[in-house]
Amino acid sequence: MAAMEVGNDVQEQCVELLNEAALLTDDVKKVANLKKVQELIIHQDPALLDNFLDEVVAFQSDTNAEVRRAVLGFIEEACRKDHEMVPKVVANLSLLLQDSFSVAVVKRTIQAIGNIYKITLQWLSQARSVTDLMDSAWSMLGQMKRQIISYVDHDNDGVRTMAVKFMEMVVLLQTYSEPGSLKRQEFCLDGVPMTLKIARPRKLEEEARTVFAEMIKFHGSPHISSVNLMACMGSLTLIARCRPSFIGQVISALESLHANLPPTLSKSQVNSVRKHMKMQLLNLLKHPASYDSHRNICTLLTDLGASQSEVARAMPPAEELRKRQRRTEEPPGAADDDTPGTKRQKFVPEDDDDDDEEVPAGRVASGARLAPVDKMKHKLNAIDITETWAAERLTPQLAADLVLVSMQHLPDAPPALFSNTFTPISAAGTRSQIQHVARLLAAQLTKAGLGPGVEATRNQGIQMTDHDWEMEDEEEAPAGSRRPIATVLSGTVTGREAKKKVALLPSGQMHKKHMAKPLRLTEITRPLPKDELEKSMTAALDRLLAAEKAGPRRGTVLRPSQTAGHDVGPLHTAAVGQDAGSHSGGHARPGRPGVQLAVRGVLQLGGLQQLWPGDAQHSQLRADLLHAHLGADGAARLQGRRNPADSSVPGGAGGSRLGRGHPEGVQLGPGHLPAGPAAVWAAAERPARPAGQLRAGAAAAGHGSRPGDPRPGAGAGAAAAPEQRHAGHAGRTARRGAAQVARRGDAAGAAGHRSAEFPHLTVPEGVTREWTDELAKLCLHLYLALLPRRESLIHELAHVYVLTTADVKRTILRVLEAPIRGMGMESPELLTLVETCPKGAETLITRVIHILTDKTPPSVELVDRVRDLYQKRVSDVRFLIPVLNGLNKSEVIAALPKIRLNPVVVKEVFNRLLGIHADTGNFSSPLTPVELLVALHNIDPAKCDMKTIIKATSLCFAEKQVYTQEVLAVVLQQLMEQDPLPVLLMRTVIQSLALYNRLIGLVMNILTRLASRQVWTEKKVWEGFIKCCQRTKPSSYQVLLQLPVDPLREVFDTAPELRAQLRDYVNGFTASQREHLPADVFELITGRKPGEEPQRVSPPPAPEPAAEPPPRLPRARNRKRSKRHPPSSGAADAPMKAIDY
Amino acid sequence: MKSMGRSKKSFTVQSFGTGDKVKLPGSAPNKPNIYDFGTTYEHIYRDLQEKDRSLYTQNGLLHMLDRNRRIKPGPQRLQECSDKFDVVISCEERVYDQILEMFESREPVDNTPVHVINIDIQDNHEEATIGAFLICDLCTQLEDSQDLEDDIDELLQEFESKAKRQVLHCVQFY
Repeated sequence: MAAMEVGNDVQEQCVELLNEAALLTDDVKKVANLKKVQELIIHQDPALLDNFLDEVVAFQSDTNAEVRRAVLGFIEEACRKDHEMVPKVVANLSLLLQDSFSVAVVKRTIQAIGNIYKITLQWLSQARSVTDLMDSAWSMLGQMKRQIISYVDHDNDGVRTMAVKFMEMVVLLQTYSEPGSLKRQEFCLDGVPMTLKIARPRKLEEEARTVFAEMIKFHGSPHISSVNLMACMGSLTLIARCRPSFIGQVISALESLHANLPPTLSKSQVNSVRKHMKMQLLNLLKHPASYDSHRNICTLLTDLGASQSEVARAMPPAEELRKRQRRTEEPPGAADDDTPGTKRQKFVPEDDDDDDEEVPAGRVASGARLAPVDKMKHKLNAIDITETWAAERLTPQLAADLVLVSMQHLPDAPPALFSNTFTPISAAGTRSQIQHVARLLAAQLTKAGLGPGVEATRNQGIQMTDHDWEMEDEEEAPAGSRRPIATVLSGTVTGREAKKKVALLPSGQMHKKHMAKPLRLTEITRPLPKDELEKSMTAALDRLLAAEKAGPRRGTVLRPSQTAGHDVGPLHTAAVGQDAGSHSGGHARPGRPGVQLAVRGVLQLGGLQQLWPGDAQHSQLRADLLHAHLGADGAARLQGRRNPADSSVPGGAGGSRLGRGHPEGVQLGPGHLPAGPAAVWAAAERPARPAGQLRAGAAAAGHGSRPGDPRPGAGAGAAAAPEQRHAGHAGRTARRGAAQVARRGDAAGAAGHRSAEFPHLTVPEGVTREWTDELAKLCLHLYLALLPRRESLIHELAHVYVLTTADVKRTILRVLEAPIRGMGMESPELLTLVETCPKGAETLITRVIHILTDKTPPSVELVDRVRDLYQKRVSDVRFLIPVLNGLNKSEVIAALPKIRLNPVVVKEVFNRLLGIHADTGNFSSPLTPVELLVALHNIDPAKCDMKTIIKATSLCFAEKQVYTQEVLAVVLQQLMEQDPLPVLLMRTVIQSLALYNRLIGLVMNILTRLASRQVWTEKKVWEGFIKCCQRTKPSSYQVLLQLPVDPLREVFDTAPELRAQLRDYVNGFTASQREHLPADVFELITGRKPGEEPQRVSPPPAPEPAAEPPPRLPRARNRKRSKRHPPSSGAADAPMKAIDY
Repeated sequence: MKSMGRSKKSFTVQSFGTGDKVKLPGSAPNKPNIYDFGTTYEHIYRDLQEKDRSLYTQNGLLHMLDRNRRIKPGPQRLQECSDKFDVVISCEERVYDQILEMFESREPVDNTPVHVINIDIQDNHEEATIGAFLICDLCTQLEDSQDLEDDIDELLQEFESKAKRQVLHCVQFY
């Protein structure tokens, strides 16, 4: 009696609380009420659960996310309390999992489903017979499970984290406990009887392994965020501690992670991740089952900076280790057979007592399930195989070679991270250290897909793909029932359908009279068959167009159109819209009433938009219509008006389609231009869902304007400015999209890129157009406008750049200038980009550096990064060009031979080096003009084509303002003094002379010097020498006369005319002058002995005898401007005489 | 020494110790005052007052204890607390380690994520004041976030660059 009273009391309380909650507008109180009800029902009177479940669950359609989360908490508790509740709520869970309003609800749902999934499996296993209800609930949970697992690729970080935890749960639940497991008193595969048809233990375990492989894959993915990474790491270690058979795989995963941390992590994130990893490894070390991997764990820990004492503390007691060791020394087969057996015996009495007949079957299973374990071992042992392979080869010789080879890739100074984390190798050269190095190498090689381990696993690779899922589905169907069965009513149906599952409807739906629950038409409607769809589509359009002719009566036509929206069903309306849209491009004009009606029809649809959150085609047609037929402002306003009530995503989709549907649409008229900004403003004004709104607005801004129009960018910026966070949203939208392209790869091509910035717009197939310049600019517009405000976006640009087509690349390069200038040279993000230049984006980076350094000298940081990049990663000299001014002399000289690109580039290089177009004020070059030209001459011809060098020198000569006579004189002087002589020396001499006649004195000096240096031994220079003499006659006669007879003969062979001229010249000599000539030379020139008289005397040109003969060797002095030349025959009396300029 | 779940400016906050004992500065660096968890602030307050009133007034310890005893009875130990937090903030790496160790040694039950964040703050008055503002600032940002899980990475990075401090962060589960 008393119990009854208590029950009634509780019931009344609950009724009261629920009624109150239904009327409350304060969400906090509402949640509090629900919590109270939950407390009352679950803990005080569970019998009421059945009565109130529906009432409470009905709150799941509440608009407030917290309330929905409270409902989820209730559902979870209810299922825990009473398993019979599961079938009643699975449908609700499935709805909540799709919750498009709040990510928080989705996360909470995943969490709840995790628990309920476990509970359900337990319930199935313990039930005496499986009812249809259970079957349906289980298969529905299976669907949700697959969906959640697919969420590891979700856009939202938190959802991914929850998905990882869910996967962890699946793995732990669907594997057998092992002797070394952590003491988890939880239900797992041990408790699932073999005879359970709808959930076969073998299948479940196989699935668990697939899921585990997925986790490993996710764990190793390069784009993983730090939170996800740590969550995933934690999950993997937990799995390893609970299921020691996974330890090996987990440790290899950690090893490969340690060797290849995701490049996207920031410095402190790296620290956090390393710390976390250390913690995980210490935990693993504590676990006795990790004994076999102790060596690997310890080396990893040492690498992570763990001290010896930390490691020693985490080691299990020596005694336990010894025990463990003994066990492993037993024959492996015996151990394997033994352990599961003993475990099962231990387990069976506890849980399976009412399933006694199942036990033998379970034993069979333990033998059978060894196979997959072995398979997995092979798969993950690639690192081990490569490790042994590497260890065998790791001799001191090879190690030395490796070090030498990689030496050149080392930076000058150790990076900060390295000095932070480096610990001196204490045990260098020991067996264990060699093994460790081998392991590290193996991890790297395997990651890169190299090495025998990879080969081996590839050969026997096991495909863990979707078909595992399919297999499972097949298995679920009872054997034999898949044969088609003919039924009277509907012809042939498959067995599965024939079985007709119990349809599970969400609870709490009948009480919605007083609840405002959004109408979910998808639940109650079915797509029309295609032909019917088309028929109604055409019919509707015909009606509309006909109505247009009717003109004044359009008001009446409006109604049918509205009815279409409400009654006939959304698809019908979509059909109308679609056709109208297709016509709109052709002949419709803004303001035509019929078309406006069509537009309204489509807008009606907007209300139902949430039904197709991803239906891009649909929103596209709507937007096409909008932008074609309404004033753009109006369109934006309409969009804006709908948005608050509407789900943000489709709103954004619509908005963004505004200008983008047709590129030509952009040209429709100036009235359309403000659409983008207007949408942004609309968004900014609505505080309700700023994130989604702004995303929508930003999308619109990105696409709704003409390239080059600054307004949308400004609008986006302005709207974003008051709330910094909003900029974050817009930015993230853009970034996330870009990341998606990167993930999706080039296959997605144009479509992928188009959705690059706006991933929620999946571009339907067939809608993709060619990528035009225009389109690319449109897409990039918002992105670029945001760049200076949110610099971290630049990284995605690089990824996108790598993946797009050549045309788009060109476009990107072209439009890049303004935003990059906006970011400036000091931008840390830009510097990071330069540092981490992704493969394939070299041109982009070069362009960026160019823009940055154009007209201003590069900053030290920039130069450092570029130098780093150049030295360590991409030896592409194009990077260096823009920062040449920042490099030091030797670096520039080293880089010069590599610059053998087209003359324009070389010209650019010189301009930079010589500061030709730079502002003279702050210009400083590492090289003086002299040094540059000398360096050019010293380029090793083996490294660089001679023609290129010649072209380069010509460029120098062309810069007459820089290469003045004085400068050239210095150059020549310096070149002269080199040994061996530069090949191009004489060419330069001749060129200089051609430019500046007055250099003749110096040239003579050079020629004399060359003669004394036995120039004839160097073939190229010798040729040049002769040429030069030809050009500089008569001044060169003096020089020629200094040559010994053999070289002189050569000269005459090459240039016969010189002989006659020289003869005339010598003939003009006085006798005393002639005496100075060696006899053989004289004979060679004149053809007679020195004593003989010339046959033909030609008058010497105004001899000017030198007073005293100077010493034989001319002193090479650098007197540039000599007035006393040419040293005509006047000096002829002394052929050895110094040419004194 | 303290870890918190949200600070006091309209946040729901609790503060905890993580060590084995409650240690307070004493007359010399090597002579700290040590109490067991479970001792009340009241007791500590009286004790210190007796030991050296002027010293402990001067270094602000009594003031702090006075404030604390009005808030809650005594120091709490995080390891013994069964409440669930969204965010746990520590101000010393050693404490961060202890927190992680605690979470690792537990078995997650319902997988509710909790973010553990460490900001190194030296244990003196000046730094503590700056640190308090920094943490308050960070908490405001975290609180304002509509989707903490998704935003936290970014928020922390912004915070790092703004505060010029290294932050350690990781996610654990209840």
